[in-house]
Amino acid sequence: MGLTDQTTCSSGRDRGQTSKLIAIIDDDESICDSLRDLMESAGLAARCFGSAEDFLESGLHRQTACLLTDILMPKMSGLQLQSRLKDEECDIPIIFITAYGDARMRIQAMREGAVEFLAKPFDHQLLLQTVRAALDL
Amino acid sequence: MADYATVTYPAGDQAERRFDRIIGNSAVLESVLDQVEQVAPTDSTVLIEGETGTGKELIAHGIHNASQRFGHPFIKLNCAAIPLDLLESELFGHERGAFTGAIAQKIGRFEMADKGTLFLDEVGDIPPALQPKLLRVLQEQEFERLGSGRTHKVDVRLVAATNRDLAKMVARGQFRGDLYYRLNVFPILLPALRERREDIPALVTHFVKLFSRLMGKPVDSIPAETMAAFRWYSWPGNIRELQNLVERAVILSRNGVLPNPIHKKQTVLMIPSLHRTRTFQSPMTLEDSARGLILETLEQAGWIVGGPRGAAMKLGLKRTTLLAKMRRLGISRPIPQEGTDVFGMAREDAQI
Repeated sequence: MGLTDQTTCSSGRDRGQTSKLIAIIDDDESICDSLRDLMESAGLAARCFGSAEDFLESGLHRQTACLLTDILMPKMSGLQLQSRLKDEECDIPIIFITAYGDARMRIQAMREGAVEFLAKPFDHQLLLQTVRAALDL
Repeated sequence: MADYATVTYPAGDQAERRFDRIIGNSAVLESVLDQVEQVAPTDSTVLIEGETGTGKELIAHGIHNASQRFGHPFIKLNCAAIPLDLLESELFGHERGAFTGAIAQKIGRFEMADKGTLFLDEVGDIPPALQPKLLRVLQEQEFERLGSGRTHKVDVRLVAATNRDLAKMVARGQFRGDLYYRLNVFPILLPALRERREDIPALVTHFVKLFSRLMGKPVDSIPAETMAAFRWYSWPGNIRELQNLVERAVILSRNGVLPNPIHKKQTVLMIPSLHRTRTFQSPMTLEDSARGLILETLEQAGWIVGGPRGAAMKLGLKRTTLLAKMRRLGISRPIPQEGTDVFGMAREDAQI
């Protein structure tokens, strides 16, 4: 049985890389900015995107070590993005930040890949701990 | 004497398991996930039963994440991993001076889990003396720290797990009946890995990718024989054992090819009726029997397949037919590398 080439999408998670990129996706710019500030204050490298499409078009998903994303967004949803990344063999740990979502949606997300969930308004310490856990994977 | 107040447990016990995922789509797993989905939104106590290594903690975390308590703490405690005399203080906390050595106040797991979920693993190991106190906190959602008269109210959902038969323990008087019924509101039985063999290839592939990335050792090929050996092994240690064997195989891999890490001595577990080393109940299919007979014959023939003394002759099969059957059943001669025996023996020693 052959395995798909993993080098295409895992470069951001290779061991020894000094700054692991955290991508933040939220259609609310103020949330994006405050999350980036939080990450940077903890010495982590972060980039903001206003939509899942912008993130994919940037090509940076191939170097992302951890993705923080809203689950409900106007165009592509967090779950659709997760499925798209899975199709592209991008096994990025995802933290869904959400105030919504029923049990079914969260179970689906759990089955599709490595995920965690945080509720809005989120606890900064818990968020940073979760991000660090993702970067250690 | 140990300083109780400053005793810290390994991070592994406190740390949350994060980013673990549920892998597979077998009917038995789907049924478990349906139950998770049904019970998660309620605040009911869940009792997860299953053999060691079946993923009880992962399912407990899944229940937490699918519930309205997600985003609040998921706190776990393995009741078997804490010395009995410390368990009470671990669960409920203590005040300074509550007992000799309690030099500082300590917050218990129930308080840490407020508004979230507390996962009590190996709940059958809670000593009888502590069981009434656990029952009370489950019923009243209140407790006192050791050495304090002040009652604390908490809002905690309990998910308990066990690999022991609690009903039997109740019958023997080792576990309180009232606590058992309080825990057993919604039981979820996790299948053993041998009951969901169709999920094995996806699990193997997942762990190969994981270890290959962690070790920086690319593995591009899992030979059909290796995968078949994984599929047909009995997995008494379930997914945890599979994970460990994949790790071993990735260490042993050369040129990107995953070898079969299942030591030939471990195959006795696959042919229990022949070796009388049956350690668990498992259904025996025709394929299991055929596999057992072929393995046994190969062992006797010193792994010679053809010729007058070969296994094919003894089995009344053509050499090519036997080879085809071996390929299909994932039977291959154990890895010839010298290191394998060392690993295999070390593992067996550890099990004694």
